[in-house]
Amino acid sequence: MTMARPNRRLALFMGFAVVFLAALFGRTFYVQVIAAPALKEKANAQAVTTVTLSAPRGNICDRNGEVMAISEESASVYADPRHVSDPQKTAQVLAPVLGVSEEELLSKLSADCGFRYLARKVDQAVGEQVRALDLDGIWVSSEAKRVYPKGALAPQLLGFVGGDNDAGIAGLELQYNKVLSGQPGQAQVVHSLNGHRLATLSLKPAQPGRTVTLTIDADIQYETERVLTEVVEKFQAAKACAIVLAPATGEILAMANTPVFDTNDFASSSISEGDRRNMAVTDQYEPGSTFKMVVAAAALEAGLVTPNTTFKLGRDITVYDVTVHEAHAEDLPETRELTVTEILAQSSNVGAVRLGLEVGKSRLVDMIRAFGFTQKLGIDYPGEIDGHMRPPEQWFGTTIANVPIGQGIAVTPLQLVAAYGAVANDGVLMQPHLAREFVEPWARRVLSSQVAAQLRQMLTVTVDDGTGRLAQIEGYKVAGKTGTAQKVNEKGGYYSDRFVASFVGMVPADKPQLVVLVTVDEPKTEHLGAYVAAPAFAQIAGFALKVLGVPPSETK
Amino acid sequence: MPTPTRLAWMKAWEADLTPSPAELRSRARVAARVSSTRYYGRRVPATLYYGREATARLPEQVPTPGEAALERKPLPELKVVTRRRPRWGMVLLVVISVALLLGACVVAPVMIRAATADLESSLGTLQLTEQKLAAANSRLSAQVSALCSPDRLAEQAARLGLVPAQSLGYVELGPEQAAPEGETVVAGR
Repeated sequence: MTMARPNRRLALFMGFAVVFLAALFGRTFYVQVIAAPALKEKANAQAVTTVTLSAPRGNICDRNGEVMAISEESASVYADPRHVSDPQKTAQVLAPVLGVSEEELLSKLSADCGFRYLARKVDQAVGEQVRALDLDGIWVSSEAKRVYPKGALAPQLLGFVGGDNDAGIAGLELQYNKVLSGQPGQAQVVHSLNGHRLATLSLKPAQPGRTVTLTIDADIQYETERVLTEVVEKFQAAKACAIVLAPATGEILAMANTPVFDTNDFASSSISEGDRRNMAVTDQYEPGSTFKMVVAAAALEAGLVTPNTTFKLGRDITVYDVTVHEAHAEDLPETRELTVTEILAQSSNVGAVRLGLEVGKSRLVDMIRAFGFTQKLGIDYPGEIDGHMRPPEQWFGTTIANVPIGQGIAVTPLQLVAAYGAVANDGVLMQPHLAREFVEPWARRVLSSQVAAQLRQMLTVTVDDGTGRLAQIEGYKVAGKTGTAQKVNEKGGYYSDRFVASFVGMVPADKPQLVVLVTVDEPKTEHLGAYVAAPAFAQIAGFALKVLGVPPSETK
Repeated sequence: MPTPTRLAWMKAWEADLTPSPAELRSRARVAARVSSTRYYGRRVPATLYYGREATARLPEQVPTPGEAALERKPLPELKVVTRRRPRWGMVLLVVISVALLLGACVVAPVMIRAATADLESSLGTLQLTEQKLAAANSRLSAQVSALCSPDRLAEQAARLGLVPAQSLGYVELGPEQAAPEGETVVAGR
């Protein structure tokens, strides 16, 4: 009996120990395995925060690496009106710093809410000033702001951004939004109770937006816009646009529109919706005489004529019930003989209609389609429209009298410059494009090399001895065509006093490096393309030749 | 005949076998304990249990009928030991090992966490610095771009009296003459 007692005690103790250990083990198992996910979630909710790592938006640069659009840090000032002790005084203090009226600030500070922006994306220095004031309920945060450091340069082309994340909403900012935006990252960070960062649980780094390098040359773009602005002022035009194209590659060196405005301040400016459009891509117009090249090309390509084929022409020509007159019929003899080259050089309407009749509807339509006037060229710019041509089966008998002189058909400035680019590029049409990367431009032959050379020669005569004399550039041979098109009115007819003056040409004519189109909408003091657009062409092309270092056609 | 060394060792051995007074007292206590145990019917001379660290196994006894009645369990083996000298070195080793183990289990994670937190803090600071530098870089790039924008250059050029060239300039590359020709405009006039 006396020996059993200690053993029993020992057994009892061991039993308790085993039960305790079992309970401990069970609890541990519960905590570590069964309840682990819920507990982990609870703990994470208290200490782990998910931080979004913003991806800086990529830059837009010109072909020489000059920054045209960049994102930089700015300050945004906001308030928690519930914590603003004295709204009146706070508004009084903040108004001069933020440049906002006291009344506006007071209404925001008196709002019944917990958050209200007072100023967004202001200069960092302003943010520092507000921080230094240390006002109750006023906070300053950091935000990326899109900046266009060149100011008023290519605003319609670059477009702009909007929204909280600075997403592209127009122009190239929209076109390349995915490339520019990058991918935001995410990090799960553990913080201590006092907010110190303790550990990073997971990290998905942000991928910054990529830089988009354009084919645009900032200097040529500036000069083009400057010249256009001058032209618009000089001829009191509604607006103007110009495109400078490198025909061998399809690269667009400049694409300018008026009016020019500073995108940095566009929100506060009074620029109308229409003026923000890039009319070179989004607007179509009847090309007028610049379209005569197409009918000449069709005739040459079909072998119906040579540049020296002569036509006996009157002052007008009647096709069914439509009579087409020469532009200045009263100064012309009753009949005259013109070669195909002279028809282009003197921009003869009657001659163009005769050529059209020779070519016929089918060949003419084929040529128009081959040049790409009836479809979008697929330029890397949003909102491109295609041209407009009545379907061949719906042509009237008189249509063949209109289309050769650039009426009854609508094209975009981009389509027209691309077509002349094909002539400049030995008959191969290169897809025009604006970015040096992300685009694989297509190319297709439109004309034979021989016909392209003939057309260049004929267009050289137009500048040397024809209507395009004011497009001449000292030292360089220029080939080009003037155009003066009446604008279509709402009734389907034509305004007698509203014109689109244009000139499209290439230089040097023997081996073109540049094709430049200038269109001026509704010039008032003068309406002929030869006087309005041709000199602008000479200025723009002359400047671009110097910038690109293209040697003169002639040496001394 | 043993060698002197062997003799000396044997003397020492015998001397060592001679019990000390304390040992004698211990033996007496053991004998008294043994004799008082009810499992042993008669006193066993203490001399039976002499010897250092000897294991005492009692001689087999023939139990009396009364004892046989009482004896229901097999006798446990008893081990009689003398006091050992404590092994302080081993104890120290164990204590140090345990301490190191505890240190490894408790202190090391704390230190690792501290180091991690320190690194995280440094990482956070560096990321902040990187952000600031990137922002500064963007700001400076924008400034540079603005300063070399065509309109500003044109304005600066006009201020200096420069005008766009009105005509082409040709350079004669002949051996005797290397002078520019064409219209020249002198800046500032």
